[in-house]
Amino acid sequence: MMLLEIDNLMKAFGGFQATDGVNLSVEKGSLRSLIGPNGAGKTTLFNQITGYLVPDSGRVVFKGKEITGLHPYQISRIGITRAFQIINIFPRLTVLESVQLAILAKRGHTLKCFAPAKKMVLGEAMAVLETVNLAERANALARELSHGDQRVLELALALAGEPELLLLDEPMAGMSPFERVKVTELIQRIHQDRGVTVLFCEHDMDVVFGISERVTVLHQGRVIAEGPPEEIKKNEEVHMVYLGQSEVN
Amino acid sequence: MAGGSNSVWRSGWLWAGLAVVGLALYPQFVSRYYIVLSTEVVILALLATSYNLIFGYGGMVSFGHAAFFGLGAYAMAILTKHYGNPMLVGLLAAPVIAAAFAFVIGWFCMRTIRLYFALLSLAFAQLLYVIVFQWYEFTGGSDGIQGVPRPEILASHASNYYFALAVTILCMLVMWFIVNSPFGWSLRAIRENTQRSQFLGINDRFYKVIAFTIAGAFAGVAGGLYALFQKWADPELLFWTTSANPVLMSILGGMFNFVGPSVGAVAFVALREIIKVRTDYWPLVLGLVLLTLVLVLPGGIVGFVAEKARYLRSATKGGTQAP
Amino acid sequence: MTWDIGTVILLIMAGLTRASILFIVAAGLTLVFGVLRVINMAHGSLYMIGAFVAASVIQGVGGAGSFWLALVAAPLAVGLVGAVIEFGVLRRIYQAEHVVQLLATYALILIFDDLVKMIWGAEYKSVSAPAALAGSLSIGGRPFPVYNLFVIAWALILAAALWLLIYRTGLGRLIRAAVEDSEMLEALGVNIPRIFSSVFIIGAFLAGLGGVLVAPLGSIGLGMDVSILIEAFVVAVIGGLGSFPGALLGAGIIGMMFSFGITIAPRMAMAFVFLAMVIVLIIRPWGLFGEPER
Repeated sequence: MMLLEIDNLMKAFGGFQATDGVNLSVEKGSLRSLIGPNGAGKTTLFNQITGYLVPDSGRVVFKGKEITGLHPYQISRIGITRAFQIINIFPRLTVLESVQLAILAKRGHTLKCFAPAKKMVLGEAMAVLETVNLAERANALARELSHGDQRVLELALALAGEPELLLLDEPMAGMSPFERVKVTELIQRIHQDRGVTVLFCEHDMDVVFGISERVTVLHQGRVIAEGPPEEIKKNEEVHMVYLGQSEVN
Repeated sequence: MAGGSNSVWRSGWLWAGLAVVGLALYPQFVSRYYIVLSTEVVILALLATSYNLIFGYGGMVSFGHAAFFGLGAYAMAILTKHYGNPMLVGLLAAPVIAAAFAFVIGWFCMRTIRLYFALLSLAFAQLLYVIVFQWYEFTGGSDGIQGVPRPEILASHASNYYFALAVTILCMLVMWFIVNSPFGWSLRAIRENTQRSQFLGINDRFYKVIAFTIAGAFAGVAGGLYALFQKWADPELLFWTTSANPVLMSILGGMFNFVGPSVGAVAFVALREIIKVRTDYWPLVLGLVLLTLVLVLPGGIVGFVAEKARYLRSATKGGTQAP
Repeated sequence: MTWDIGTVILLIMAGLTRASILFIVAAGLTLVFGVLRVINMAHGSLYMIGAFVAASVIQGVGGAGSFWLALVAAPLAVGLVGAVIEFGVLRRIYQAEHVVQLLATYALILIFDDLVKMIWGAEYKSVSAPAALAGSLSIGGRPFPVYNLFVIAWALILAAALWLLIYRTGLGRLIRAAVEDSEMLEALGVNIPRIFSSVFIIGAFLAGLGGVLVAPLGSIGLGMDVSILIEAFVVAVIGGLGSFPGALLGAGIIGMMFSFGITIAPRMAMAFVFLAMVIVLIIRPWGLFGEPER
């Protein structure tokens, strides 16, 4: 069964075609990755799936229902959450508060005005923090965490939203090799233990080819290749794109 | 930190209890001048705390909070003086009317670009001011409504103080529960990172309208008390310069702390009493203080002390990461 | 009052006069917002200072040339005040949260309000139009002050000048880029602080210019700061903050609302203005020329 189907998605900024007719289907329970050089349109695609941008045309279908044009808060409630490329946390909330709030928001409890938030979904929140190995820092303010831990908190927030589909935008960005190993394991654990469908984009090719079941290659706003890692590694067009890119870098 | 894990809060209830006892005993020892002044402080503390719901917790800068304060005052004045209702009716109607206006204004303010909010709140408040100022038949125009009746039991200054104190404490308690609820946390999350809060599933604009309405309601209560206290309502209560007061009180005391605005109210009135005997240019001083605080001491008095205390604690413990 | 064609034309002309002042002031507000992403709460104060400086120059110097001197001196003086604000306050807080910028410029309203009271006193002042523009023309069989035509002409000239500045000069190209994406500009190695200073000073200059031009139209007094701030902001909301065509159209709408509103129901003019804004907020919340925000 297809969890997410993207049909001919188009988005332009001024004269720049950021996504140029993207088609993508994500099977339920899969662990997928999205690669492509900078400016290929990965983040723009994520922004459209999660409702932060409204596509010019095309459709996004989740669990058989069209979600194109819904607001981010609506999309996150129906089961798509996201971790960001840049650190995007709540600096003056504690780690635990942030995760509790994410769970409360998912369950629709955030309009309760008189319940003591501190005591709500405490167990679940701690469980999420245990999963990501952040339980020790539960009472620290988010802004006091190290860069790597902030990235992990970012992931914890996405996970706390009890998603069916988890979108990770470059989860390894700015991480040390040691942290990369930990986060790679974490993503696999989330996928296997919690049965969450994961779609991530990443520049670290070891991670991409190491853990993804299928890889989709985006270039200039279009899907130029899709298949299992071995196939993509051999794909000539992909090589062209990346060789060209590496010369620029 | 607002509702954070600060250990000050572990003994918070004890301190709150002591403060209430102190506030209750205090009029026995001071002159009438200070009782009258304290009554005003208590009401302004309620106003400032209501403002801080949206300002400190919600991160929304409103320059029109006086509108709801003024509406509350006029609700009390008109209902008791013109329609002969008992005081309690006025006091209950004040928040309802203020909240109704806050909801409508909030709804319009939240529809558009978020940055517009500050100026839109000012604009709508000035509109209400102009309406109150010009609608002579209903509001008494620039004269306002004088001689708001006070019931027998509130005849003395002390009884008036106790009444204002009781109502304020009750309201503060309700607001304390709100800021520590999932809703209160959501507001903080919106303040900290609006975009991220949306991705958690929080409809920030809707939450802000609700917060604005709640804040308006409590400002209405403060206005009702104020009309009772000064026995009249005048358009000045809605004027934009009045809106500056809760802003300054919140910043003076500390906007990231529940009791900050109340401390700010005390400091504000003290400052005003000192300045006003020396110069007519009180707004100038207000502006300079505000500018200085914004530029050098954004945490306010309470925030400053809390930060220092936190620093000292972590220094004595050794090794703990400083904020 | 009778609603013959002459009256309507006269009301339109009066509305255009008001619109001209509003456009000049709102253009400054919108320019500063578009580039700096700062809503300058003290913009109205700058306008008020412009009017008071103009009154002082006209009354102090006296004679036929005094208005023209004021027309040059007041915007320059206000531009200078703008420079002081930019260097003294805003420059320190561009990186801070929006809250800080709003509060700082709001504090300036309070400060300038009292400073103006200190320097010029609380009494209303009035100045007359210069002799060369003192008479009136007959429009639709009714007298219409020449000075008002002069104000309208100024607004049109200014609109053209702003268009040239923004679409035909190097600074304008940078301003447009900054409105689109100031981070990209920074990445290109452009001296952002200098652009920000220039833009803020131009904004202040426009507020000052509005202040001089309005001086002979009515009384000059405390309180004109906040009322023009709100009107200019309403104009910007209707047009879309950051858009010049929007400011032009918004000013036109609000000018007409004023002149017709005051005639139909004198006490309700302000309500008409808000009605226009509320309608726009309902049907197109981001303004007629603005971009939606999620």
